[in-house]
Amino acid sequence: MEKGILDVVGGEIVGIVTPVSICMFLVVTLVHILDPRGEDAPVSNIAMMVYNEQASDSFSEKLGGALLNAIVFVVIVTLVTFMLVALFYYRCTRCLRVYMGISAFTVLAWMGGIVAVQIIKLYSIPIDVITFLICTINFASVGVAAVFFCRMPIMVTQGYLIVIGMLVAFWFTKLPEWTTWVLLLAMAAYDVVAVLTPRGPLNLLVELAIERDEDIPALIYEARPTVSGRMQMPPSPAQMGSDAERPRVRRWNRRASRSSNPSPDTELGESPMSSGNASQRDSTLTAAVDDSQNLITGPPTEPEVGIIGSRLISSTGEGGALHAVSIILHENSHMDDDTVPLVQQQTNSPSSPATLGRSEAEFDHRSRPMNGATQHSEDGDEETGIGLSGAIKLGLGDFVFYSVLVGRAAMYDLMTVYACYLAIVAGLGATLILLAVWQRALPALPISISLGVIFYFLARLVMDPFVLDMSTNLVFF
Amino acid sequence: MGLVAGFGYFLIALGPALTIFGSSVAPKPFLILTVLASALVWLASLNIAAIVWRAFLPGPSWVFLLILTTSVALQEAFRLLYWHLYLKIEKYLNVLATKLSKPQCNYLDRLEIALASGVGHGLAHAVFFGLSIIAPAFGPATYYTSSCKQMPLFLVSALSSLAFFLLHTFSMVIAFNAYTYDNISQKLFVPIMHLGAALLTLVNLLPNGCTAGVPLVFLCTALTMAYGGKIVWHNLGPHSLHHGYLHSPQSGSSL
Repeated sequence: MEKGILDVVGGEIVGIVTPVSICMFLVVTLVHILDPRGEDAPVSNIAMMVYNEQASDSFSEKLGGALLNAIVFVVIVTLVTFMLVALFYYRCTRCLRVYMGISAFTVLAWMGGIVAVQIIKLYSIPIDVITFLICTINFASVGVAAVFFCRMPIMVTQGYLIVIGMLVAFWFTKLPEWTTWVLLLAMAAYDVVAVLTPRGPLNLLVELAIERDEDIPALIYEARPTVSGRMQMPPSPAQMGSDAERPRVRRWNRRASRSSNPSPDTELGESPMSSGNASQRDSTLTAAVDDSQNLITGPPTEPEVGIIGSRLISSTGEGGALHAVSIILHENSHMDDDTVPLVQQQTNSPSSPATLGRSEAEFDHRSRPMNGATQHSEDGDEETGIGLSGAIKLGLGDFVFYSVLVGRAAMYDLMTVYACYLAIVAGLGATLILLAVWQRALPALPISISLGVIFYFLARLVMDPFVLDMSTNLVFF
Repeated sequence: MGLVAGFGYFLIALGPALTIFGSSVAPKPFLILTVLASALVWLASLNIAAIVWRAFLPGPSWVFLLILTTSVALQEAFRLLYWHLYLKIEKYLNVLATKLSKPQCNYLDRLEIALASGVGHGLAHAVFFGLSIIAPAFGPATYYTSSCKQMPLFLVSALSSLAFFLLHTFSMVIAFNAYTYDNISQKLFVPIMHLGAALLTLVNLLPNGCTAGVPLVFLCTALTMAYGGKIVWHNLGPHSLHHGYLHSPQSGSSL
């Protein structure tokens, strides 16, 4: 049967909401199994350098201490992010990669190992130390390779990113309660500043990456695989990526070029291109010929942005619902059918961009952005396959903080978990729609986290007692 | 044993919901988003009801009468809001469909969206009133309330969740149809059934009332489902269930 509009719209959003949901679900499950009441002694952590919350402390002590903790944490995150920008600026890519690789390995092997040991103890699973070590180290090594160094099926890379997000988030749920809430709000505020202000570290990083046509070095979840197939990219000045990086590089090119010429709506042959792009375009055409997936076309409409940290990156677009929105807004062209069902293709596609980003350092914090990627419509752009190339990107940091919120909610009651989940997803949806409208990198945390916090307290203080009272009396509506 | 009982209650409450979700909603991304949005709307209405009535609980049983009436009225108002919101979104969808050279939303698409919206309401209900109560059933014990000695609390919750899930799901289908055709009797049917089912749960407050209350709620559900089925059957006609007809211009133009 022919596909209707309902099959087509919303694919990208679902592509991002699904992994976020999986990550949250895993964190909630872990919290339920291992630490249902949040009673474990808080692990000392960089986020509680200043103040260690005690249950007996007074309200103001807790609040003040939590604020101090959050401020210190945000300052550290900011410094690390600037360091990252500096490293990126001076092109210490290798250094960055190694750093990111080591942190990912630590998370997978060390934190993952500890969680695994707890589960093994809990269920008395018989296993010997040697087997366990071999499994853990192999698991972690494959993970690091999948995320940073080689191409693997996109499912593997995405799966590992989710696992990394889950482990870090689980660790963060061990923070004391007040610190967690204040920290979440502080990170959301930081995210706004870092992404949206011109001198914000994440904004700098994104701009730098766009300028150089490089990947943003960060841990970023990409909803769709980039297509690796086209090697025919026109050489661009900035392009120095290794093979693995090429597809992405291309994408960045496209973005860059788009931004350079903003005229929308041109059709293929007729579009005015800037002289700089002309050669590029020719080659693109050629490329397009052999690659059925690509559409080539005219001039780029809007700049896309990528991002890092926790932000969303934006995209341009044309493509699914987002695109739809942007299309409607910008009225540029019509889309190609192929573009749309991207999401479904993703599972099958063999190639993955091996390099998602590498980035910031600790996963803990930083955010990573989402990027909306692009897609192309007919008038889209060059090379990347339609639909395949551009993907919405969400920084792993966003995964982490969403999951921390839900994991913290899980220590109270399941009802708070559902309420927070719905609020976060709604916030994410709103952010994605804004992404399509504004076409720039956006912070993914603020809307979701503030909605999530509001719904948590509403659910905990008001709804939970109300619903429990109703349902224990067997009265429903 | 706890695990078996827990899964049993879980599947009673959410089995049909998961089936409908998996078979009709999950394949279409837009419907998944519809479910999430509609669940959020339902949650918002629950939140407002809770803010207003939180202070009065626990209270005497006549308070429940007030709570149920106002909450049902509130939810029906939200349903109307939701419908208007949907109309706006449908406009965008149609613009988009034109751009994508896809057919415009037809009656069947609208029915699917109605179903998904109903599933969102129903799932949210089942999750908040059912699942959060049932969760302890996975543990070793069970729980009875003093007014219902025949069935564990968990079983009553699971059965009621199921009944209300189906009620919400098919109410939404009927409501969308009623608004589409501006049919007064259908418009009235939905709130009346909802209110009726809600008030019938008050029977559960009587000693041993749950033996009567639960079947009565299911009666409302069955009526709603039958009425919804009849409406859809009437509008599509028996032959329209063959594939090619579904997206035909006739069904589209009936809007």
